[in-house]
Amino acid sequence: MTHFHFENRLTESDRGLKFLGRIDVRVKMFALFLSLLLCVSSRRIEVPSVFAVFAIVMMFWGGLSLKEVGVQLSAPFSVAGLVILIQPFLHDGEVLLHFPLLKWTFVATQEGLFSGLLIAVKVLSASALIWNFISFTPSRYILSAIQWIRVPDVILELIAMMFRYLFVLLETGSTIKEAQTLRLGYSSYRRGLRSAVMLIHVLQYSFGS
Amino acid sequence: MCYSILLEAKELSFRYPDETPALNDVNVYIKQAEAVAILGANGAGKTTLLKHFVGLLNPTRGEVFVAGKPIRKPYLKKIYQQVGFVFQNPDEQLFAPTVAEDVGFGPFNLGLNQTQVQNRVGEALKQVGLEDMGDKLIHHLSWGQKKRAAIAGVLAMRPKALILDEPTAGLDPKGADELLKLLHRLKKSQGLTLLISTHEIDRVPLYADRVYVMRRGEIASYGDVRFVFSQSPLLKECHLRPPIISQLFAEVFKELHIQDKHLPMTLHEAKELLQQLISNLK
Repeated sequence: MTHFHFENRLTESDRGLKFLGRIDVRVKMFALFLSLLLCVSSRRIEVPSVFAVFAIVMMFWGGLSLKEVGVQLSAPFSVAGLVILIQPFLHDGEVLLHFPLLKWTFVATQEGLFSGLLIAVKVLSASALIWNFISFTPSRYILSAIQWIRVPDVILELIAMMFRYLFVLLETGSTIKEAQTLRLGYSSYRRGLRSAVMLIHVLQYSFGS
Repeated sequence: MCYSILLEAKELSFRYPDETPALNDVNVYIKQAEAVAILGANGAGKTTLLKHFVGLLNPTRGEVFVAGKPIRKPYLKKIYQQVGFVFQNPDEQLFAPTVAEDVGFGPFNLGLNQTQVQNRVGEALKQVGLEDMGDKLIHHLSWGQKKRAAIAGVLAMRPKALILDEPTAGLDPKGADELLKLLHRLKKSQGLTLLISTHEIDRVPLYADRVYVMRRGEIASYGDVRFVFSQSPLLKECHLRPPIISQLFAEVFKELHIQDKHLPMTLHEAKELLQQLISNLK
């Protein structure tokens, strides 16, 4: 039921609006863009870390449960983990560890580790900030704020339409996944991978045609 | 060990993540080789209840059993083989490019070899009358054919029970009749247990042994078809009605002050009753 959590967050949930709802959505949008800019352009790990912690604390304070926060941040956490694992082996610098594997020697460096940590924290902070904004700002306010900054009507209508069909896509995808699950489509890793490819293909075909 | 009760929900309650109550203290049982219809207005909780029988939803309270085993993670694989689920919209159930590939998806995941998968596909397609359509692309099928292909995909797993969520939705009268005949045939020939949610009251007496009526997430009434459809005021409260033929005869009996006759539930019963009434008049 992941799509259910997602839909609630993105639609008309008024949770957290008692405090965060009092802030004008335009102010929130401006603050979001500024924060994202600071996080992404920062060369110091402290800046995105502070924003990440702030955004996650705000999510809990706004009333989201640990499970909801976990579901929303599971993808960025996975990406961050992967980056931390790979980056140390892609940079030159002070050697942290090295080990041979088959005919290659893998060398992890301190600079690479720092670079990995920095990218990971940037991914986490940016995702947490966006989710924080989405979680406590009903879609109608977001659309009116976009209208206020004089985004052309065509683009606005396109956003509204994409927003509508996002849920159709999620619901269809969720039901197809359920149908696959019931025919043992995810009973092993390999079968799961095959089923996921079929799912993506059928969604692409359905919404592309 | 043989269980006469195949599917059972005990004191089942369920709330969606946004706290919307969907089921409240529901008790349902379905015996082996029985055909049970779940009736209810839109939003009564029919689909939510059905999804519990295959573990797609986890109860907030209470428990669901399949062949005496609670629906829990270690038993899920076995349960998926024992209970097949046919979704309302076949487009959301058919995900492979061709009919044969889709029908073979389940048997392939059971770990069967190529020949065994092909045998199962052929057998399932024959059962639903699509034996010549294995190579057809899914999106070239009619709605009725898609429904049959979806059923074939589930039958290929050789389940003991088939759960169908509004199987006749979107079908023309002929298509709906043919689909119900197919289900009836499967029940008779293979002893398949059927659990069907539907709005199509007039067809329920044709296939159902028992009926559950749902109202706002609760079981409002249950029993054999004749008993449930005799409760007109309750059915009205649930935004339902008895079959049209039964309503017609209720009016006629009222006019003629006939009290000792059972109301007919199907056209066949009505025909027999009419013949009897005419011969009595003679």
